[in-house]
Amino acid sequence: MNQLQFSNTIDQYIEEVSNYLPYPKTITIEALDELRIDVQAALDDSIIKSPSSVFGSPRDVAKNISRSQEWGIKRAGWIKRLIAFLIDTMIQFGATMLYFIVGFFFLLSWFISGEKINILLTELLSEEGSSFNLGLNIFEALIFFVVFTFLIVTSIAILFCYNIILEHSFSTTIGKKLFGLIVVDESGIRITWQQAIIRNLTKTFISIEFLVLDVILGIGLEKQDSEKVRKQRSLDVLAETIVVINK
Amino acid sequence: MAYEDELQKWETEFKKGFSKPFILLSLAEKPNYPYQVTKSITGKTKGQISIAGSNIYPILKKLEDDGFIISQKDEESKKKIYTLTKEGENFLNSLMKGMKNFTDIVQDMINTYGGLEQ
Repeated sequence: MNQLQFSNTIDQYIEEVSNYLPYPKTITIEALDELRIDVQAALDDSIIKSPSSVFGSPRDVAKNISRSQEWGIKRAGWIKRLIAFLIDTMIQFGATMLYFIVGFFFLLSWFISGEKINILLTELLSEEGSSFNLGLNIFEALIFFVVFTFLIVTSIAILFCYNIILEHSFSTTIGKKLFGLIVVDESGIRITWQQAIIRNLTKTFISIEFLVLDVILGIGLEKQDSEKVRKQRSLDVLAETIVVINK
Repeated sequence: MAYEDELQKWETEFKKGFSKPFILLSLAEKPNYPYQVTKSITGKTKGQISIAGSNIYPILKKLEDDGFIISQKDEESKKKIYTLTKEGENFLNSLMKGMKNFTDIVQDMINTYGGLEQ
């Protein structure tokens, strides 16, 4: 392995470890520098070809670093999380509505002239109900139907996936970000897709009524084991995730 | 195969407890940075105790929190060097006495058993 390959291998490994750490670079840099020196020394010894064979997988290394630095230990309180959730819910529904309305009007304007849209809207808003003919042939009607279905499906997907995608990709949502909260694995690293899906099962618009139960169960579990400061919903316990105050 | 696996499990189990004392012993000999500490332990124990690379970081943090070691960044090499503190030294002395007593007892028990020659 030449010097350039050495350097690339180390950079790639550190980058992979870094990707598991959802904390600001200013916080992680010192620990990652320490790791870089160790990996460099191990590679200089020429006893290993890949850093993983000595230091473990990037995920395991990230866990050890996070534990040693105690990054993910300050649990977020219920009140902050509740307000963040309400903000997220408003954003979620607002964004979905906006997406659907804008998408629907684009769809209409694509197929129908402006004059006909006005007539259609008047008909739709009238109390007598609509008998308006869009004047589309079968092919146009089929495309209209497909695009309209796509619009509905993607709108539902936004409602379902808002928390899952944001928490997995950025470890936070807009509401949580406002309070400086992040969602991490119990060891302090970024959560997986599986963890993001499990912890958000009670946060979709069809299962939201179970969220209260989820919180009550979580508090109940906390009372069972008073030595542990959990502040976890029951699905957090199941997914092994925690909400913490970001550094 | 199950026999071999079980044997390895037992050995791993009893060796686990030696990690922290050996880290202190290594640092008592020479202040060092994490990778060199694990390397020296692996070398001295002939590979019997091997702390997987990154597992040493949480252990070092714990020892530092306990006041047994301190870390200082060497400005020239940028390495974070760990050193045994006075408190760590005293603790290690007491620990070594306890370990010696314990290993003597274990040695006696192994000798009494005498099954090793079979």
